[in-house]
Amino acid sequence: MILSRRACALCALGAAALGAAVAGVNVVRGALFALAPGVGGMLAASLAVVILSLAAVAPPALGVARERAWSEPGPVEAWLLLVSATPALIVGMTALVWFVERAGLGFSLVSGALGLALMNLPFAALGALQAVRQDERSAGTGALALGVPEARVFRDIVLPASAGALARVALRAAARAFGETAVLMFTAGVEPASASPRGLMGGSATLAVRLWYLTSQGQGTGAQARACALWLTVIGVALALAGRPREAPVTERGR
Amino acid sequence: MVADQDRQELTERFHIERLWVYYGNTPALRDITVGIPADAITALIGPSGCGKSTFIKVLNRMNDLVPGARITGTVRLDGEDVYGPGVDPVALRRRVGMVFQRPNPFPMSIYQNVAYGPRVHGQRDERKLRQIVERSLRQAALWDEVKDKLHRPAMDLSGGQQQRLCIARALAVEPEVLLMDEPASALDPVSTAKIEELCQSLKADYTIVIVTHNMQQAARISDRTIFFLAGEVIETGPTSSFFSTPKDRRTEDYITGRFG
Repeated sequence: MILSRRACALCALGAAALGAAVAGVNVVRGALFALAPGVGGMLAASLAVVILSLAAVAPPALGVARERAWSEPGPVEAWLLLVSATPALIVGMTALVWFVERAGLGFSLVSGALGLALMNLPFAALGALQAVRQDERSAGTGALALGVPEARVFRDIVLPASAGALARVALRAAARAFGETAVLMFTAGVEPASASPRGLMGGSATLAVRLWYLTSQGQGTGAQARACALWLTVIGVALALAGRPREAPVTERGR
Repeated sequence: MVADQDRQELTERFHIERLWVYYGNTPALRDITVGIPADAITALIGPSGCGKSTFIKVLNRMNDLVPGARITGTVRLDGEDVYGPGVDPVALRRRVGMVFQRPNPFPMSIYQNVAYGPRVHGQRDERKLRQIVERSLRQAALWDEVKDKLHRPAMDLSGGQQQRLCIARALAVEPEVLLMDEPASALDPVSTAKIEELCQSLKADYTIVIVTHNMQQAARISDRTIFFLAGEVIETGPTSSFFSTPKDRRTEDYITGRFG
């Protein structure tokens, strides 16, 4: 019963995040058109698929972390590690079949986000697992010793104690997704969005996909390619730097 | 002292019989049969890796969380097999509290750290929670130091204060037994002395089992001592005679510093 409530809560969280993303993305998209002339639509598309993919990945990744927090690394982790090494091209083609064709979502930002989620899920689950296990050895164990059920310990103690590490995992996953091309060209398409936003169900090239496309067409030195590269570099590096793993902060004077 | 010994032998809180604990296929504890007296301090001593911490974790089934751990034999708490069918380890841990080697306060305020356990166990009345927090912090000899900053983060406390907070947190759920796994090993001598005084003041109401590497500490605070070596109990007895007239040569060698 506790597990099912937790699963419902995670699903509700995911749905709320998705709703917020859907509501906010078009507003942001319009602003980005003005901010980044020439590549605004692609910048908006990049951010939208990254945010949507994170919203889709967070509930299952946290679910894996919750289920495995008190277990020794075993076949699940080995499997996740193996799957996380799957070439993006294969993930992209899988997403093409599953989301674009079978689910009928077509070439769209939603398909792209789901493809990125498929790519990032093993990585995010492993990262979340490592993040919560760092805490499990201390405060979480202390709560278990008080006779608190594992699910409650995870929610009340382990998650807050691991919040920083989990946020960094999300930022690293975002950095991976932001620069991804193979998955997105099979799912979100290679044509840039027009000046008028077409919503999440419309297809649009992201910055990375557009840069790949321009380069493949021999236009890699043009103004649009340079603008794409600049935005990709600035945001990608910022995400990677913000999400870099850190040692545990020395805030506990007693340690 | 004789009367004290008799009382301990008569009122046994834990009785452990033919206990084997394995990690995978490797035995960590071998054929342990021993009793833990009620309302007294029992010290577990022995060299590193001898099974003291494994033993203490068996008592409240924290070992259930160790992957690959399995046990055979019986562990009875007030006559009830704690590994018996139908025994809920979560409920057991409420009766048998535990304090760890390193202080592990929750990432919340001092007040919330202590109130967390009772709140989870159903206490919703804030007035009663405040009483529990004050009582527990007084029992842990921490109240005077933190009464004016109850809503400050627990992480701001010193190591010794954090450890006493963890003891207060454990006491707040009103356990019958308090297990302490080297609670002072990461603390300075002043904090260590406070923890020892605290143990002495608590033993009237709680059965305390303390793991320690410090034989002086065991001799100072415990009523009974159990010596572990290579997963076996070598000797057990009242602390007064244990250190003055050990019966086993290996015990004598250990307490005189010939090994370990």
